[in-house]
Amino acid sequence: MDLSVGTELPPFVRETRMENWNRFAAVMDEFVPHHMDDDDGRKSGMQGAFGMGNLQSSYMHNLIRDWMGEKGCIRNFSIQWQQPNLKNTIVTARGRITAVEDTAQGKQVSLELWTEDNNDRRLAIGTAKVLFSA
Amino acid sequence: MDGLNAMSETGETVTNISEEMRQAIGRLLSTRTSYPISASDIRKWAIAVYFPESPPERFVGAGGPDAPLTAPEEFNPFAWAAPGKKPKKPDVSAAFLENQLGITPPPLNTVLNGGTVVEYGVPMREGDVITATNRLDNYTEKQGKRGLLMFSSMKDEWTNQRGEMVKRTTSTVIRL
Repeated sequence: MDLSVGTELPPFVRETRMENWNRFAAVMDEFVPHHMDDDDGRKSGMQGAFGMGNLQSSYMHNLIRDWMGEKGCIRNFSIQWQQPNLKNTIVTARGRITAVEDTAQGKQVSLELWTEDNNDRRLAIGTAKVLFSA
Repeated sequence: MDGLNAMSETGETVTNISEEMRQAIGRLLSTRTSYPISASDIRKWAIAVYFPESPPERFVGAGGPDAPLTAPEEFNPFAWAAPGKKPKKPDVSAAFLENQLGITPPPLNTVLNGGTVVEYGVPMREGDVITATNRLDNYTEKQGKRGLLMFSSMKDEWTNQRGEMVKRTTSTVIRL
């Protein structure tokens, strides 16, 4: 695994629509009307129903997990939501190594993270620190 | 000045944080204890967040006492049912925080999610019982393009049945 600064993680890509959001609502108990119904989404000022911010967080975690496998451990994570995940768009979670530090516990890798859609809209930004034990 | 905003001599709002709100900083918002996390809970979560592709095998295997499943880091053991939790409509108003505290909210009507910062400890595993303690961390303000913005942060700490730290989450909401 290339742990040098600037290396990009293999992207995590999902086409997003009610099929994804219903499943996430079902495990998160997040049946909020603006995520479920276009009319309620429009009442919130959006084009229609939109996806859950917490699902963007899961997509970023999936991105990290798919990259690090079982060798790494997520120590810290942060996310800020910027724009809603609109229906029938393709969401891509991406990440890049920003720093690598040797610690007593192993190699700690800092990441910058983001999700974007196929209309070049950035949906969320974040950071994470991953420890690869010595 | 509870429930009212303080004004400068020029009529600008200088703060929406009342003395009652300042006094509430550090107060407990809620404590919750989960039911034991089941293998089925973990599998369903993983299937939902990786849909339509299959999640990694470690989240959907047989599980059981000899090889308990490990939950994805962001797994929520408090969704749906928890001991003593009664079904209720979520409070999505801009006053949700002060409503929980039983104090007068600021005169602000719009609420935005300002982000989340998480520190992870030990992983959650099948059979674990998680206890969460959520506190009001702070109120701060700064001037934005749309006027005075209020940042309210909450700290939620999760521990397992052995008292080990599972995660600490700081969540911020922005009100204007």
